Amino acid sequence: MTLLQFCGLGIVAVSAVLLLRESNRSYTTVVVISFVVLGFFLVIGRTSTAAAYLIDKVRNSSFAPYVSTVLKAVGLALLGEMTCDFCKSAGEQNLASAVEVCAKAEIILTGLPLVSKLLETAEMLL
Amino acid sequence: MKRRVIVLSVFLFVLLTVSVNASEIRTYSFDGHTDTGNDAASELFNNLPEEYRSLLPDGFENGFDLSISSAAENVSADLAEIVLPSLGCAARLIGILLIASVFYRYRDTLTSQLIRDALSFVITAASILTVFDMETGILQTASEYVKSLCNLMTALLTTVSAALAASGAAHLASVSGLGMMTLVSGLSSLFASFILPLCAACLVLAAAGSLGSVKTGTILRGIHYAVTLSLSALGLLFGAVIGAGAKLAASADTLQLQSVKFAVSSFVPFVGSALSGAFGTIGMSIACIRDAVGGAGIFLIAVLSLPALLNLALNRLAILLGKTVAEMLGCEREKTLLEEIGTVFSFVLAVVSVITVLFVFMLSVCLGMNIGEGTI
Repeated sequence: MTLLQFCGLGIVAVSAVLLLRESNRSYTTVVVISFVVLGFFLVIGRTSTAAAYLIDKVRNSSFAPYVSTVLKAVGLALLGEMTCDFCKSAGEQNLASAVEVCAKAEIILTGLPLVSKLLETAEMLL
Repeated sequence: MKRRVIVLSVFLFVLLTVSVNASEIRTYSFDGHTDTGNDAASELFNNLPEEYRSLLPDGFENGFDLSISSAAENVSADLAEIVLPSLGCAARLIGILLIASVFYRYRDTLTSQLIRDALSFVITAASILTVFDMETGILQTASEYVKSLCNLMTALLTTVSAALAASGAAHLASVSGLGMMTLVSGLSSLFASFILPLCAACLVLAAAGSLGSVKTGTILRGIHYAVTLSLSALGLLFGAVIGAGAKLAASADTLQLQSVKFAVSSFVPFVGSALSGAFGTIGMSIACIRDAVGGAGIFLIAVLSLPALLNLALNRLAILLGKTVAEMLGCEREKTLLEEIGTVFSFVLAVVSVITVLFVFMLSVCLGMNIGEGTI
């Protein structure tokens, strides 16, 4: 799916939300959720191609051992951000904060092997 | 009387009739010198026990090519070995910064501050690890260089002291040998037990500072003062040891006092001032070495010391380049890290330069003592 199709879908979704806001307000949230989920999968699909390209390019560089961890963290960050935005648009601020904290914890947990390697390097140096 | 005149006349007649041919004048040829050396190397190799032969470099039994073109070829090959990895290091640094900046752009699309911070942490940890993987070898190189230089100085001092003692200047040998041995041992232990661990600690501090976005510039400045102070203290200690030794043995040997004066005057510029203050003494030392062993001695010193110094300087330049690129790409944490790693490498470069200059001074002092005593 190209950006043009994605933008078209966005305009349709906004039109649907505007129409539904007049007749049945509760359905607007469902439309927004559907659009966010669809958009998320589209972005993930595009990002995975970019990630595969990046992994292929850095395969022989010194950054190669760490790139998969960083990509995982980026994916988690995108997921957390989208969920958080969705919660905010649904008016659930508390839920959004909880998602934020969980996403942060998960990203830091993903980065723990890097911290461990850094500590090993520091120990070796000292 | 007549008989004597007749004998002399006959002798002169015989001498004047002897024909002299220019082709019989013997000239000295240097052509066979390297061949003789190579034959000796081959003979030495054949007489060595089998277990020691494997320890020698390959091709030792065939001798060495001692021509200037061969030496220049070897030097240029060594220079390429030093320069190319440093260029590669700079290129890899720029590559890492580019990749990190791509990830930072991803991060910038996020609106949640908590998630942004966590992602920054992971990206910075990855880039710090990559930079560390590349740069920690430099400390090892510097350490090996200083160790080999100190070993060489110790061996040289032992040989010179033995030669002086054998020539009858036992006081000079003991006093000067003691002072210089103290300096070499002090230098070696100062570098291995204080400066190198301090630099490693600075690198770790820099990494921690970048991860936590904390500026460690003040701590690094403090460490810089500590390094300068310790080097100055070592210079003072050397002066004191030599001075005390000189007073004790002055009555025994006046030449020793001259050597000591030369040694102290060589080392005094270090105390409280940078290397620039010692340029005059360096020039004197180099002139002394040139007078004693010729230009080849200076060439050998350059071959011995330049690779390590060049390697350090080029890596310092690569880091400076990386810092500039990080600034251009907006990678603030990487810029801070590279800036602080650069400061640490500047310490290492300064210390290695000081030790190299001390080595040159020591060589000139040793040569001065030996020439004075007539052992060389």
